[in-house]
Amino acid sequence: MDLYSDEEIMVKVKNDQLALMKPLFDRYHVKLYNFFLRLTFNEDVSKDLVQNVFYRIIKYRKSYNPEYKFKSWIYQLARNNFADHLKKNKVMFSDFQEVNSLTVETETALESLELKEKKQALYEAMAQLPEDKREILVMSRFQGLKYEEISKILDCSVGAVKVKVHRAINQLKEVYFKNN
Amino acid sequence: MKKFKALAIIASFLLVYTGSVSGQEYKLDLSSGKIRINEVHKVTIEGHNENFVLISTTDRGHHNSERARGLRPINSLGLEDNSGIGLAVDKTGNEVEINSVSRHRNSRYTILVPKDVTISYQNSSNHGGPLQIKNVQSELDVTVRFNSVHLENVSGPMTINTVHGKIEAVFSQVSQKSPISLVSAHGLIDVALPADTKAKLRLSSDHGEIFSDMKIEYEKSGGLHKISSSHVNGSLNGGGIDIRLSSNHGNIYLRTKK
Amino acid sequence: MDTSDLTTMLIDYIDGKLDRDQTVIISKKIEEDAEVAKEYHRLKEVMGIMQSRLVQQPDKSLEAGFMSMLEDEIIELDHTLEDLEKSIHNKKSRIIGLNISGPWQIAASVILVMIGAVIGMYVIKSGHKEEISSLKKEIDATKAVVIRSLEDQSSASQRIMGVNAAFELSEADDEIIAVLVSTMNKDNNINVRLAAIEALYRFSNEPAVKDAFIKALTTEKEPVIQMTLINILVNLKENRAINNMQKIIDDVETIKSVKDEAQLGIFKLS
Repeated sequence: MDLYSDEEIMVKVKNDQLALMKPLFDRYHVKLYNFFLRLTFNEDVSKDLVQNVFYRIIKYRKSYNPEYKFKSWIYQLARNNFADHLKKNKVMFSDFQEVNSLTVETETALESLELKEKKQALYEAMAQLPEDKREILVMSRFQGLKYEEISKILDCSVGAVKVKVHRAINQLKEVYFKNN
Repeated sequence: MKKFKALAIIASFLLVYTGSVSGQEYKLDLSSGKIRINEVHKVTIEGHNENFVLISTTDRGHHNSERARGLRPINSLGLEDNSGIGLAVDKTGNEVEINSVSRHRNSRYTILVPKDVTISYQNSSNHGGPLQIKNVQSELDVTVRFNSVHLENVSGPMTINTVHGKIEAVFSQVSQKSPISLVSAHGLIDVALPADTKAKLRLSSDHGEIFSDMKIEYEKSGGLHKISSSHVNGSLNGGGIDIRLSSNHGNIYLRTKK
Repeated sequence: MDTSDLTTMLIDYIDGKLDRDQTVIISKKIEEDAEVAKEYHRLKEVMGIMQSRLVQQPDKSLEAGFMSMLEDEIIELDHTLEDLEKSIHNKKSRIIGLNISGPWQIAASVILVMIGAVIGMYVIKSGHKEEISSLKKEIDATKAVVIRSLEDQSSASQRIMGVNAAFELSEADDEIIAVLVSTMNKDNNINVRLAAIEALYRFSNEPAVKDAFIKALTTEKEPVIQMTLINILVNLKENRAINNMQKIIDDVETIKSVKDEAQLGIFKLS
């Protein structure tokens, strides 16, 4: 285990020790990649978005406030990044082709056929949710972030996060069972 | 009278015994190169400053048995006891290979090896007894299963591994030529190094503990410490040759040589 | 209780976030009311699928892209500092020539104050650029050392030295990984093989490395290596290895302590 916290490393990066971006990249790139993957269902786009998040950290390093959790900061950058991406590419996710290829690759031999089919259906239902709902589901469920952590990222109360998550789950459930 | 008879028996026994010991030696010339010792269960290896290998044993071997008198042990590998002491000794160029011929020898062989000769010892059986190695400065390779390994007045380079045995080593100095690696699955590893040893350490124990009284400088990588309870990377006196001590289940002890 | 309240309670119930009294109330409702039960099972199914947090590994191009971007940024930072220093020199000469008008004067004095700090920073940073441009060369040189040392069949210790050279690399490339995997599987000295495993472990974010670890479990017979691989795969939370661990347990030739280790591994990964 590395003894330095994210925040301590980020302070060094802020002071122009750019090489220390590598340990931060090591700690977060898989998480972020999966975050974007669940939002975009596209591997290449997800890789670009991850790359861009780290690019922005370097560019905006001077604006980092050490009293702020690095984790919250990086997710905020990730969200903004995703929002910009949507603005630029107004294509929505009607194309299930991509969802298909993604879920096929996420299969493991250990999973039952039934579970695979259910996962497939769930991703399709996810793709039909509005962005904000999909995003909060990804953070809360797929990324395992706590309500408190999400509240820092979204800059709202824990109670509000909970309500949003619950609404999103409920809507996902509706879409999922309507499809099936 | 009875007493006298008993003494006589003991005396004659001692005579026979010491007589056979003096006869249990095998010598061959070698000044450099390599010696491989395979499947010989109990061995003491010592470095010496002569240009020959001398193998001695207390075992009276097949001479012990009336029925086997005049016969030599042979085995399925086609190995023959050509040394008269239960070993097949083969020399090709400057490489000597020593194999055990009889499977259940219980006595210890002492093998004196010239100082520049590289030594390799292996024993895959579960009859292996403690392996002792003393006064060796040349490269050592040891692969065993049940043997424990005891090293004294050694310097490396060396690679030692055992499944069930422990490894104890007292280094007189540490060669900076190439790495030292001591590995056991179940046994403890106890190593004493001179205080001024320059080395890079990789200590690991998956299920045991690591103990040391030495001044370890913990490794920094890109400004970050790399240390966890079961894996310690660091260096001694500014760093030097790699020393790896690792056991899956045993403890690791790294101490200053007194 | 309206439906949205009920949904909220059911979600908290599934998440295990209700207190004891509420839990009792909800489980009773589920038992008694078929509609509630149906809602509960639907939510549970959806949430259950999301719970199986499958982590996808990005391919190597992401890290490669990041590294090249990082190198560019470091080089650019150095240039910025260089330019700044140059501009300081120019402005200094202008100050001496006294040909300066208002805003420049202020800028110049600010810059003068900064000189000390900037030069200090520059001294620290000046090593960077060369480091980066020589990085590739260094990797190639290290690769040559590794491969050459591993060919030395006469000395296991020399081969370990070769493997340890690979250990110093901050990033892996396919060739190094292939050489290390082959050493892990084929070298005739256990210590060398362990060193290769440890070197590979450093690069365990590479899918090829993980795959090699999992595959090695099926062929490996040496207890020390078996145990080390099992431990590593547990550390990597690599549950694809469970099948191969079971095979180790089922193999009559496996020694007991390795079976125990594999059993523990399966327990931790399941």
